[in-house]
Amino acid sequence: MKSIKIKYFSSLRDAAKKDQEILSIDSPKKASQIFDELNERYHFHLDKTYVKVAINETYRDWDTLLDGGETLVFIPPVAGG
Amino acid sequence: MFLLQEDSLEDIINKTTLENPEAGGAVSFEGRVRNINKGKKVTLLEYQVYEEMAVLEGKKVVEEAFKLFPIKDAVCVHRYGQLKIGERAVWILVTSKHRKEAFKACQYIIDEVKNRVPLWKKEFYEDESEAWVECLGCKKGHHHLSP
Repeated sequence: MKSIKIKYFSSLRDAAKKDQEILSIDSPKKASQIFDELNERYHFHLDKTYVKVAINETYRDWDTLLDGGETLVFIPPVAGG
Repeated sequence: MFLLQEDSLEDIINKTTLENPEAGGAVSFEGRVRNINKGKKVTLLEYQVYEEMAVLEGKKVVEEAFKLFPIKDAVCVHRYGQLKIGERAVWILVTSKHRKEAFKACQYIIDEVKNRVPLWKKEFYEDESEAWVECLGCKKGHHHLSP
C-alpha cells in the first residue's frame, strides 16, 4: 500500500470537513478517479469542469497517474486579487 | 518578486520604491476590499491560501512578465487571512524604461494572479451569511476585466 496526501481548500474543505488526509492506494490511479471517489464520499458541490488539479504544487492534467508519495490538491476556482 | 503576507501591506508599499535610474516609468496597482458584491453588502473578507503552491505560482507569473515585457523590476504582494473593507488585498509595482511596458506587465501580473494563484476568498455579508467567491467564468476562458 502506498499513500497520497490530499489537501483541501475553500468549498472542498468545507464539504470534506477536514484540511487534509492520507489516502491509501494499492495501484496507480488517475487524479480524476481519485476526485470521483472523494466526490462520492463528500459530495462536493463543484463539478469537475470547474476544478483544476495540482500535484506536488504544480498544475497537472486530470489524466495524470499518481502512484504514491505525492501531494494532491483539487483547486476550486481561485479568487485572488 | 512575489510575496504573501498576513499583515497589512502599508509598510511594504511605503518601503518598496524599486528605484532605478534607467526606469522612467513606474506603474502600480492595488486591489482593495470592496463593500458590495453582486448586490450584497460585504462586511469582511477572508483569504485562504495554499501557501506552498501560491508562492511558486506567483513567482512564475512575475518571471513570465519579465520574459514577455522589457521591464526593469516587478513586485507583487498578496495578503491572506481576514481583511476589512477598504484594505489592500494585493499590490503590484512594475518599473520600465517607458510607461507602456510597465502598464502591460502590471496588467499581465494581476490577470494571471487572479487566474492561477491558489487563493480563495470568502465574503461575509451584512445579513450574517457567508460564501466562497467562485468565479466559474474563469474556467470557461473568461478573464476578469476589473478588480
